Amino acid sequence: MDAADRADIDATLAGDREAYGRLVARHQDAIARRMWRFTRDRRQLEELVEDVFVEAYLSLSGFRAEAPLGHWLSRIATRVGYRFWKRRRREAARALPLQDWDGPADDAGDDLEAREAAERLHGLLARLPPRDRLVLTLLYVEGLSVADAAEHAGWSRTMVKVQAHRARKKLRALLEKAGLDAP
Amino acid sequence: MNEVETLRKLAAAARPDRPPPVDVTRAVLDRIAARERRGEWVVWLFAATAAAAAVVVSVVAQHVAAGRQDAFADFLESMMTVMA
Repeated sequence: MDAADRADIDATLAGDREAYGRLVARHQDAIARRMWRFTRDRRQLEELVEDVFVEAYLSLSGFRAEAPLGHWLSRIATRVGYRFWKRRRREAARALPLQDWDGPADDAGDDLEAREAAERLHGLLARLPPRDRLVLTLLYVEGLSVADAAEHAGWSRTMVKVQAHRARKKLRALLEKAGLDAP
Repeated sequence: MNEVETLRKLAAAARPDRPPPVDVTRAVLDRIAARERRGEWVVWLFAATAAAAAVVVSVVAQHVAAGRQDAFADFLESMMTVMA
């Protein structure tokens, strides 16, 4: 584990809150990139990143430094994002038709084509239940292995495989319905 | 192209998909501080309630032990008057 992280974790556990601020400052960009998979709204993004770090602070005494802090934060982030999707499920069901995106309204600095593709990807997955959306995101968008996806989601490997099978089936039906792809 | 390939193709086209810059350091520390203040307040409230309950139980026990039910009723009445 990174020496600076180790030192700041120890200081945080000893009551130095500013040390936790340094941890947040070091890892917030990586967590923001992960949470960007869960929302395309800047305000929600900030709230989710905050949620991850507040949750991590409350669990910090249980952190076993066997892996880098970033991995541990990443798992917390996945679970925070999944809970967010479950809360927002009703809204996701009212997402725009697949063909109707006119691009994001935020100031992300990517080129237009990438942003449009990202919006389309997000909108497509938003039509699926959170559980299906999560497994497809972890396996095929982020490219994690079944073992890593299971660790991030807090599921067994068998559960990941079964869920992925079901989710692919639903995605196939969705694509056919939208006329975006041939079976 | 199957559904997985479609998904992977979209994901590849979406890269790089960088979020807007965020700086949540101060907000996180403020939320943690607020949470800890709430926690302290709950502990204080619990302690105060427990202390008040202990006083009442002690007074009741003393009066019952002394066989002075009337005096205890007077005490309750005076407490109700104070609270009103």
